[in-house]
Amino acid sequence: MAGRILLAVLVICLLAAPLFVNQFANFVLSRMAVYAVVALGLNLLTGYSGQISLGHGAFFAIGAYGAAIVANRLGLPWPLCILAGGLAAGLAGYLLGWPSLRLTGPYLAIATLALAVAVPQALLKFEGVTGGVQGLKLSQPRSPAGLGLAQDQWLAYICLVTAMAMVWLTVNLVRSRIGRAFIALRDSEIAAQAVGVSLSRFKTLAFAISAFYTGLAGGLLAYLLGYIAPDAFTLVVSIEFLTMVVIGGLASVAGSVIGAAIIVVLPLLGSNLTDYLAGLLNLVGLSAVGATTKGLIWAVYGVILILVMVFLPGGLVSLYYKAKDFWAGAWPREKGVRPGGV
Amino acid sequence: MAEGQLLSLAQQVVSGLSAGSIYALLALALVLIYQSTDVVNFAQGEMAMFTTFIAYTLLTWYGVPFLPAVALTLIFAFLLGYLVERVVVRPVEEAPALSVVIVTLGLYSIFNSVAGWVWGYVPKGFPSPIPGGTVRFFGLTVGLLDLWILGCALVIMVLLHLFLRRTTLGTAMRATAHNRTAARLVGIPVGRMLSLGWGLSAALGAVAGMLAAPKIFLEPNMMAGVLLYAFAGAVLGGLGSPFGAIAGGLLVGVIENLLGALVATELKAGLAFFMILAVLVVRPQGLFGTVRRRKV
Repeated sequence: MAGRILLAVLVICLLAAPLFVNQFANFVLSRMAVYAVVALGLNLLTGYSGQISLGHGAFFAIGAYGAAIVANRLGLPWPLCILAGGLAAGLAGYLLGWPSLRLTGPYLAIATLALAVAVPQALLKFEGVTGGVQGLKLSQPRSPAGLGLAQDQWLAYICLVTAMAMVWLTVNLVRSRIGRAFIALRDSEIAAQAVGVSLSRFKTLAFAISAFYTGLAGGLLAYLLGYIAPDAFTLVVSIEFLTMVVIGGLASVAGSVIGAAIIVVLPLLGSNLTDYLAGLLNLVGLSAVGATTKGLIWAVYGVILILVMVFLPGGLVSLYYKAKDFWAGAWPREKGVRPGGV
Repeated sequence: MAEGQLLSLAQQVVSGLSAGSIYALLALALVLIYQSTDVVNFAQGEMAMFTTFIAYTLLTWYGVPFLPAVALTLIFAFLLGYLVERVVVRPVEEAPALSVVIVTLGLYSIFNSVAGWVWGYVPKGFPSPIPGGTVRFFGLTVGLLDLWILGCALVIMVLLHLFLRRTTLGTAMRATAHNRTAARLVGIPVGRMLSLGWGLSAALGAVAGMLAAPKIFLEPNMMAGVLLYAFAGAVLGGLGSPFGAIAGGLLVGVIENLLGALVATELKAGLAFFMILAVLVVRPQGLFGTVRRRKV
């Protein structure tokens, strides 16, 4: 009961926030919502179904370009364009799901890594459709006249409401027959198949659903920025996505949202931190002339990734579950026999 | 005319081999680490880049002569790999494959951004022991540097093959990768083998980096393009075979170059993607690999 009240308070606060905060905060809030949708999708695949993907930046790009192309060429209303982006990415995910049936662990990571690198280059190549380096512009949705919201407020509402709907959907999905099939396949493919869970159907479905979420988020991003270009979808983005899911907590809806919030806020705080670190490095004379703190945030991400994997494999949410002594089953970490001294 | 076309095609193949030799070297390092620890190291390229920067620093900032600088770099690389395994990879050794992949991705980010931070993003030239000229064979122009890289790759391949197959240490390392419990039972110090595997593979990566640097210039993202093709090469040849890594790397280089010349340069990465996917789906063990059976 206390949990429900807390959730209700959180939802009300989030829905009220765009009215009271400034433009920049609304943008940050919208980005968090977009990233949360990606995190939910990636977590369905990686956390719940146990399939790693380094290629979600590609689905993100497909969703964003899909939405922008449909909007510019067909002139459909924005909700349909965003949906079209999601469906395009979902189809791509479904297609990738088939070869992935034969790939496990590191091999799947390699294949999806290649996808993440290939898509931005393909975007550059097919200039006629994607606008090449220039990218694509699209007109941002205007608030309905009756509501009288500013542009940033209206965009924040679109993103927030979509993200909340996806959270609700995900919570129900993982409790459904489909979600249980994902988890069963993750924990033991053989046992799951033995009780009649179709490996091919549910694995491809996991890829399709996960890519759909990510494409939807891509469509949202396209409208949020009003402009998209290939350099917004590099491999770095894919690693960023994986980082947020791992930090927040694999196989956890709350973890996805927390991870997304952290990954959006971290670079904002990051510039101070990295300046500080650079100063420290200069002090011991290690830094070359013209050295830059640009991109040092990635070292911070890397350290966080490793620290979380080593000390907190369940992510930040696992702290909560540990506190509740409710740790069993979320992401079973195989504890093999580990004789000492070798 | 037909002869001229054939010649230009052959020239493309030669250029492809020259690019492929770099992929092959990095693929070798990937194979070594996979053979000895059963891990695919996504940070391999970045570790190679990082250690090459160490060599650069020794050479240009401290004026160390070439050979001692190379030796020091190799020692540094070995220790780096050894330490990385011991400190960062060991704790997730028993965790699912996902955790290890994520940890190596974390290392990727760290090495990449720290290198950019310390040395900056301006591409730097790297001295080469081989003059930059070309030789002509049957009307084909071949760079001396390319011959040198290819020759080194072949020598390393043979050494690696002999090491893994013919020495006790190499056999122990393969046994460790294959079945840790059984290896432990016959008295192999499993932990040390794993650290050693990372150390050696980091040293091999350093060699790859130092050989490649005169050709592709030294900068933090120098390996971004190379790593994907090295993966494609390693997967194509089979992650379990040093010979396969070389053949796969060269093949990827040739195909990439021909495609770039005949179709479109921008689609090269897409090509790597489809090649990886096709090989993994049709022949997951690679062209030269052997099937590794697992008990369920």
